[in-house]
Amino acid sequence: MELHSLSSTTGEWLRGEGPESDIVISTRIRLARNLRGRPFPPRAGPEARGLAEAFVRERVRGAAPFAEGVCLELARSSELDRKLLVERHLISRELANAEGQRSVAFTRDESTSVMINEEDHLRIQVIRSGMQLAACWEAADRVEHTLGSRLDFAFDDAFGYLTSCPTNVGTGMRVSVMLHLPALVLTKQMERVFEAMSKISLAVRGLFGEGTSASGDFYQISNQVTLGFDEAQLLGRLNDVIPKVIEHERHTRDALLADNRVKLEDRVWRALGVLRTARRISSEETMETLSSVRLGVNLGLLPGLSISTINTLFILTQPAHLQKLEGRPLATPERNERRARFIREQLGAP
Amino acid sequence: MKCERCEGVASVRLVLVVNDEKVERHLCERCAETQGDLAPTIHAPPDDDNKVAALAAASIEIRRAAAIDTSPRCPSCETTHNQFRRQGKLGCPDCYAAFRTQLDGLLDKIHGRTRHRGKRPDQPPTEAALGYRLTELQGRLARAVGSESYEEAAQLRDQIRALAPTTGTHGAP
Repeated sequence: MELHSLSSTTGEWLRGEGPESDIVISTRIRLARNLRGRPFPPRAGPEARGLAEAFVRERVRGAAPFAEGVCLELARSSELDRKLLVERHLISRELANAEGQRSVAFTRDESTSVMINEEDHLRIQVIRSGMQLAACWEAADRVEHTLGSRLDFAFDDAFGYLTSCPTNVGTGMRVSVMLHLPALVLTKQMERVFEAMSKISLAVRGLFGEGTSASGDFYQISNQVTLGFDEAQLLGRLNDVIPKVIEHERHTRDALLADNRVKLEDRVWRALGVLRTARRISSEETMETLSSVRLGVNLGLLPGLSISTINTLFILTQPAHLQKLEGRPLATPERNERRARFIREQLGAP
Repeated sequence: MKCERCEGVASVRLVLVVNDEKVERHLCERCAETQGDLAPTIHAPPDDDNKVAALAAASIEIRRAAAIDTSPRCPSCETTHNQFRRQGKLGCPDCYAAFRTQLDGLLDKIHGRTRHRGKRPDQPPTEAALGYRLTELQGRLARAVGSESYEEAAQLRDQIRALAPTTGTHGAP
């Protein structure tokens, strides 16, 4: 697959379907696994790193979900291609910016991927649209089992699956639910959400995970602990809490509508106005206005716009996607122009 | 971290204060010894930069951290427990066995637990997955009963009954 073709499409998880998809963008499960008897990637020299990468890559490529998919050696990819993969949530920033042999394999619908030689030898990822913990876990478990029959994973009776960083040991599982919470942000209630989550060992992170900001009012809620609880318990904890956050966001949206309908309408229509008319627009302003428009669409204030169009714009308007679409590097002012034009085209505006 | 001179594992961190400016060097034990930086007299290597060349006239502070590292060492990858504590990352899967005693305390701090529960390599995929499906259905059942949606509750109960026999002892808590 030519990566260029990715710049005008998005993965299936952005189609805006699935349970609670007005608020839950996606459910993601990541499993960290390592090879027995080999140094972890951060501590491996170039040779050991290369050997492990080639060994894993060959076996991943031959496995059922990836045989028809895409496999990329990132050391041979351009910086722009790597950024494109980060923007699509197929690889982490850490893997993009790392050095030495490393790769990614993913299915054509981008719902399943494996990062090879990130912090661990394998980071298996399954992502689904909306709130789908059970379906996501079943898929991740299946893929892990398939790969586990081809690779000897490092496992210890006491510590479980062994990982480079002890924060991931045990199940090696990180479950993240990505939520769009504009009403809670607007009413300055996110601090309370952060506090409540940290009390029950759940982390709240930005759009691209650890250390990233919550642009576009997107937040990822994920489990912090991975050891001492089985997968069902870790999933169950999120399954208990996420519906409460969703309910809180919905309630706040209703209250905003009831108390300040005109103010809210003004906000979402102005945002749409900017997106439909701007001749130059930055990444930040795009995220901000798209978030308001997404809220408007979900509240039925902006008829005729679909959630999948808006979801897609969040991804396709990012810097690497625009440059890939244009087929050349673009400096910031040019990129802002291209972004504005692209958004107008997508929204059918002149 | 790699040794700045030979690509080996840097186990010695030298902090040199040259004209009130701090210079950090990361070297493996062998390079640190041969360079002479650890000896009382500093010999700047010919290929080094000006800052180090000016060492003779500078005040010098040397911290010899891992050169005398007597902490437990992983027999497979040579990572020492001190190195792990500094870097936060283990060297290889065998480090877990090598630092088993020390890890218990740390794992308890991070996870509040020290022993694995959950999937094992010999476990077929359906078992672990069904365990959760059941947990989820029971959660939905409790919510349905709570909101007096009895029709939905009846359907959920049927689904749970259909799943339960196949999951054996892996029922939901």
